[in-house]
Amino acid sequence: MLLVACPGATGLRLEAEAAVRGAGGRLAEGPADADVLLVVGSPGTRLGAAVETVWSQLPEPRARGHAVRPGRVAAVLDGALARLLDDQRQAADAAERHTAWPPPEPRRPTDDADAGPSGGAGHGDGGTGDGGREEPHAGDRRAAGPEHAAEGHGEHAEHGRDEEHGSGEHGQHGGHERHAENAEDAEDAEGARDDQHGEHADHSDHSSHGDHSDHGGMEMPGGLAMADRAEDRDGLKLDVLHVPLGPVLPHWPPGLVVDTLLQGDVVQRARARVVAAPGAGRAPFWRPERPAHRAARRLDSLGRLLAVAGWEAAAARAGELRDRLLGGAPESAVRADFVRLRRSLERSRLLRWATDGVGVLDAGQVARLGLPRRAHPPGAAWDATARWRWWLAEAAAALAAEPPPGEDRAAASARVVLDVVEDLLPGVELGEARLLVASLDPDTDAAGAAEGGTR
Amino acid sequence: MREFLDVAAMCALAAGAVAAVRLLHRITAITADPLTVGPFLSGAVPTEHAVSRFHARWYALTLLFLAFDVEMLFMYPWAVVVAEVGSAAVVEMFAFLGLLMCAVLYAWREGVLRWA
Amino acid sequence: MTVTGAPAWAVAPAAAALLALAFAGAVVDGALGGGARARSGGRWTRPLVETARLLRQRGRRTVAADGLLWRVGVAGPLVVALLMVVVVPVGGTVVADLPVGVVWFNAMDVSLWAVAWLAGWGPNSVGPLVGGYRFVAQALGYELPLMFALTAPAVAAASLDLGDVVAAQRGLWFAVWMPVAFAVFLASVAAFSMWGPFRAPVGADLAGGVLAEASGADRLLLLAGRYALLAAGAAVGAALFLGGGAGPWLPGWAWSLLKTVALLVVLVAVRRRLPVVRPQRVVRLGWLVALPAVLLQLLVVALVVVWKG
Repeated sequence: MLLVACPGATGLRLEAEAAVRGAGGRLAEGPADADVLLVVGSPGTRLGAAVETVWSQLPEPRARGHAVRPGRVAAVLDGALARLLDDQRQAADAAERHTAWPPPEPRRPTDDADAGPSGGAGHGDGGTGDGGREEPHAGDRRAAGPEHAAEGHGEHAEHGRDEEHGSGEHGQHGGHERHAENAEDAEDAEGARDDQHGEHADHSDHSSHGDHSDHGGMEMPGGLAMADRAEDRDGLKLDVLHVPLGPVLPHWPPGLVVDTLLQGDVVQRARARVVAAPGAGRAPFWRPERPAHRAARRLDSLGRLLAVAGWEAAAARAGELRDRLLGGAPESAVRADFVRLRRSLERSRLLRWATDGVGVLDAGQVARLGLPRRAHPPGAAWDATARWRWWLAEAAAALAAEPPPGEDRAAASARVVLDVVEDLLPGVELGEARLLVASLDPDTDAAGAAEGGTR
Repeated sequence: MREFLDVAAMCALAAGAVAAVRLLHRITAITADPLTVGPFLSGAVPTEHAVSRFHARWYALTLLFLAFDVEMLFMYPWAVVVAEVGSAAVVEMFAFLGLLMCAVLYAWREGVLRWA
Repeated sequence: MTVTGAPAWAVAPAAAALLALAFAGAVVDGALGGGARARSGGRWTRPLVETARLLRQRGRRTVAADGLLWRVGVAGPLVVALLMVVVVPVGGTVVADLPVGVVWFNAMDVSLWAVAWLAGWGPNSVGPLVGGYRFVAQALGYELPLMFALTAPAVAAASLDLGDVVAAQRGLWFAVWMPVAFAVFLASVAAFSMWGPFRAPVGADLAGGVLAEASGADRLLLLAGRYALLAAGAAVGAALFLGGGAGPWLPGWAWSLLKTVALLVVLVAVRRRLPVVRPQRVVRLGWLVALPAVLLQLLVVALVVVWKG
């Protein structure tokens, strides 16, 4: 089961996690391992496009569900599971789909901004089990043979031809050419992504498989270019890959996208943003005035960090405590189990090996993030270890009905956190980068609405 | 040589087992035709091939490894004759290993064991 | 007890036994895992359900993948595990009575470097690619301690034949007086199986790493291969350090099996209980802690052997 949560759908996400556990399932780590794609909340245009891409990558048997109303997640999941077992339907779906490459074209940016391909509350809570059949061009593409999959609907056909004849004309979108030119030089390509920062950069990503006949003039396997090179910190010139982290990624803040430039497994540059979602920024799910919510929120962040660190048992324990708190269990009842969890985390040398020295904050960053000036224990660096220990301290105070420890400062907005993430990521190994983001845990629920205007 | 015939038999059996699983899968799967997909990139479409000249930052470590790996060539025959040859074999081998460990310490100081 | 080679048809029961052990490992893993509270009894059948699910699932090819290399990498772990067990004596018999059984096992585990890397390189996808390289980096850390840990029993037995190593443990298991070598061996088995704290190559932070693009039969082979590697490692460990088929009352093969299962359960149980150790940390642990420790262990063993004459 692959779960995609949209910004602003925290309640639904927790409900979905519980429903998956209830059905005896587990959350998949990617589309290859997934049978069901479950979307909770309302995705915006770009999250919707990412969902379509991932949906096309699920092998049959597959089913998808979309839940937008609280209390309906389990029913949606049951419906999806029922479709999963329908042999005839799955065989028919498989028979008409020889290839999922190139993936379905996303809606044009000029389209209605907030109604994603499968978004909107209109046909939510049902699930579109038949492979996005509601999309007219997806069907056309499927009907075409594997070699000429690109032919059949406007946008793709055009790029297909570009590829064959090497004509350099594809100028509808600024993003194309800028990307094609600048692909030679990662520095500039990065600049291009940087200032576009939105639909155009995204669009150029999606359509660039037609662009590469411009440089090289060779037939590229799969219509993809070889990686380009860029200067390395060791003074070597080495291949770089453009790798976005998110939005569809397990154990990742909903809707967050970090576009990285990867050399080997080390991040060279990073740009972070939150994709817009119509549901974001409405009523915040976490209520800081309620101690149970304060503790549960910290446990939620902690669970994600532990999952990224590969400690499944502890992540499951944190999630269980979180659910008990949100389910109305009195804090005193949870406290004993929490103390046990805290002790085993703080004693774990392996966990500290994983998080020590990851994303050390300087004094300015600490202030911007609204963290207490001094890490705990005093004198220690403000690294990921210090942050999860701080979460534990906060959760413990909340459970003991004490005021939050440390100075009382307002929590930083997601944008501030993402700026810090962008500053810290260069030079960091991919696994550490995941831990770094998880340990800063930007709250994307509100940001998904705020960034909506800048698209 | 008969032992290696047994090994070859196991090799054939293993290959057969893999082929059997693939054959079974062709019959039991929803469709035998594999689905061609783009690589999973968190919902994005790649702009270039992932296979590339990967920067293996631990390349310096491979040299250190190679030194020890060659040493293993001596190690196995040595292991068989230690009891016969006696203390001379122990002294000679561990003097050599001690020298190699000095190389490890030097490499450690030079930061070979740290690359991220 | 002396160990004799079995006729060639013995490869079939040996392979069946290994696969049964691998399946048992998967069952234990499913039973130990959390979740699935709603369906009682569901835990024990989980590997069966998962196998059926993967056999029904359609296979995938990624665009411009290196199909041949990917297939080699996918089949590799299972094949290597099966080749490992040909030298393991079960009771008084062994499939292939190689005089250099210890070296054979070593050669097989080194071939996993190529196999895991190919499984990562094949799909032309970033997650598996990084996972494959992580495996090689991690292997640079665990391989040397493993090699020296393997030589310790060989020195004590003055032979590289696993049958002789088992025979040399009459009276006292090597695990008792070579605890460091035994511990390093077990950790290395977990590492070459991408298991427990050493599963960074298939880590959740890479969306499954080497496993990320595999579905259907590919995934089934990779997952089965991992369990088979654990089982093969446990079988070799039982012979090298736990006296193989030696034991009172029960026949030799039963003791071999019992000890293998015990080691397998220990290895499987570690899985969810520990966070992942990053390859860089594995390398530092391997070179700065495990390697000196296992060399000291080897020195002790060599001195004991010389002293006993």
